[in-house]
Amino acid sequence: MTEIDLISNIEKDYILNLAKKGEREDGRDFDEHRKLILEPDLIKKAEGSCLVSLGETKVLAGIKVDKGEPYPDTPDQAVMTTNAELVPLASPFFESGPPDEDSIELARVVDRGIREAPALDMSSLVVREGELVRVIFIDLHILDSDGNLFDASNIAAVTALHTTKIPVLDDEGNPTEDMIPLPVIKTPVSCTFAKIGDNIVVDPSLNEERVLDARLTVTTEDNGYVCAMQKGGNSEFTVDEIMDCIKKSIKIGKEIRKTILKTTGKQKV
Amino acid sequence: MIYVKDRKIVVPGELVATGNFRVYSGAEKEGKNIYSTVVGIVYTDPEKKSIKIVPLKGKYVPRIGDSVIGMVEELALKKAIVDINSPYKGILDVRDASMNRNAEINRLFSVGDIVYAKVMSVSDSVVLYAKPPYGKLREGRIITIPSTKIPRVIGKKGSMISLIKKYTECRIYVGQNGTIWIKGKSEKEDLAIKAIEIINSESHLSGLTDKIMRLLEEKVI
Amino acid sequence: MELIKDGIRIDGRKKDELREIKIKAGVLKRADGSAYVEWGMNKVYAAVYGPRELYPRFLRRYDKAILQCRYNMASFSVEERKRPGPDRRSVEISKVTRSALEPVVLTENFPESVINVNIEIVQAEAGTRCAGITAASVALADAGIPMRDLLPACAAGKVGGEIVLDLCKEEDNFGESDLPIAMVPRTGGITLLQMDGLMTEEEIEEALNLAKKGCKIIYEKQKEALKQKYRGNNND
Repeated sequence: MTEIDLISNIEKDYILNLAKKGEREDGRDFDEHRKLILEPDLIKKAEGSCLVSLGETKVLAGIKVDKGEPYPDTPDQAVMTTNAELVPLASPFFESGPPDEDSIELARVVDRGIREAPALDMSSLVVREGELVRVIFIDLHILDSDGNLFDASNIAAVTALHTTKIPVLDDEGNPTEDMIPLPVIKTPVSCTFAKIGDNIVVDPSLNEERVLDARLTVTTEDNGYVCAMQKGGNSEFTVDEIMDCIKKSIKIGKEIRKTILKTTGKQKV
Repeated sequence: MIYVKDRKIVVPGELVATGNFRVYSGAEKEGKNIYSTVVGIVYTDPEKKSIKIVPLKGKYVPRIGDSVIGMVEELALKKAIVDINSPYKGILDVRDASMNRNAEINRLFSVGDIVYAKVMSVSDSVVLYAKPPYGKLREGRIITIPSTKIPRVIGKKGSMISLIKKYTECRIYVGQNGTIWIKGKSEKEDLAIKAIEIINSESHLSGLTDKIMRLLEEKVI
Repeated sequence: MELIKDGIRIDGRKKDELREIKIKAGVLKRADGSAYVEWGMNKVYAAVYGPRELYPRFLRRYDKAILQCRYNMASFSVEERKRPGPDRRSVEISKVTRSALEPVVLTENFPESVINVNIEIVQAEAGTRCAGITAASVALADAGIPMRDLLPACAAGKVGGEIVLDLCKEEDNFGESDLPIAMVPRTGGITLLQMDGLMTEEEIEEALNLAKKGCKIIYEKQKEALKQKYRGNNND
């Protein structure tokens, strides 16, 4: 069975030639994201949620919060897990079954950005140290896979965390009527680049992903620190190229962070 | 008795007509009743008592004699497997792909190549033929639309496609399977693609030729 | 809990009243056909791929396309987080969904191929299988796949001693019984039928007729959704 996501040589050459001229198939500048739409709080059954449309790519993130035992090596920290489902609804090439390497990589890159920033004050989510902490599940449901799942998923997850409300627990650890927002202290934003020939473009479309030589995701936090990176693809980056991507990620990340905070009503004055 | 106005959209299961009508496509008879089976545009001819429903979308079903444009998806021993936007892959045997008797398939084609071919047989598998004037297409652009829209792109007796070729000075090959190859000056290629996209999205509306004419005239200086 | 009082149900509806239903066709780019259904609190996407080549080969049927259906719930779609992946319930619903759709799809037009129907429940609150089938048949039509008819689905059941249409969550949990069906509007034939709880023969007949009434209303919404997609650029 040859079910791989092929692109024709004619389309490939067209994209490569455009890139040489400084142009892209959809008319964007190299540093330009596709249209980003955030729809927070669509899923009332989840404690937090957000549907992100990045161009035609659609990712729905849902946050569920439970309670449970902390990990033995971090008794004073809440537990967080991130999971991504590349369901066959979203692409002709996604198959049902246990998570494959693509969905695991996606979930882990999103997780790393959130964990390392850190987006959450994990120590404030402890009920009884070493015994009972909040357990936060970030679930990414991919609905339409049209390029750059990394950034769409990161933005969906982070925005969903911002919308999450959890019940205050009493001394026994039982939920009360009062609700509080999750302690989101940073807003990590990832920015993914595709190296196409000698050029680097941000937010690759599906066709750009099909022709890219190498891929780099750079996640930055509010103060301009880089908090996670992931290189993919079968070619190489120079140090200069990496530094250039980092600079751009910080800049573009700032804009997206503003959008997230504005959408969730958390924009600081 | 026809219940639906000419050129209106119907969906599966709608009662389109009752009586002795000839049904060409997109509908089925149940007793005297004729029901649509697709989302499509109804074309009725009360004089000839015929009904045709042209689906707005759908996969290409190969027919003998069709010219198609496909992508080489896999190379096997002495043959290429070609994706033609259909539930069935096209098979191109090396003997049907070159005038050279000693040709080797992997010298003729690479995976990802676009090939213009003719459907020779559909009985066991979809057999393609790609000797000249058919064969590999190089450079240019390709665009794929639903195969059901291809008759509109071609137009009555080729009027629409001639119009586009004339104004854009592009070479254009139209595959019955919905894939179209265009080669010319780059801005003219863009213009031809724009025209085809409009035909695709507005194929069910009247005044299409005029609209395409205006588009082409405004852009061509 | 009093589920019904003076003919008014716990969520304020009358006995023969559906929850609010919105249907949209063609919502996903990559799928060959797609639909989105909001039905009360339920939010459901359906996507169709194909007909396309079927692997492994031994599954191929020389006389028709096979339908493969996958009903799946997002982890966050329910109150308690659900583990990702199929469980026994979703496997069963996938199976009855396939049997419900099979009679309306003209599978004989595409022998040896496969048509994939994917249903994702992103928010669930009673009646997801009916919402899923309703969405799936719109997605099939949107994909251009020839069909005898669309397929609306809807449940009726017995709640507080009365036969009511389209059970909400409380009615589903605390009512006496639930009977989801899918109906071919052209013939009135029923292609999905499940039932749990206790009902007499007469009650079942009443419930079936009520559910069919619901299906007819949903059918109109399905038709409207498919036509609406093309009306967007139609100026006449």
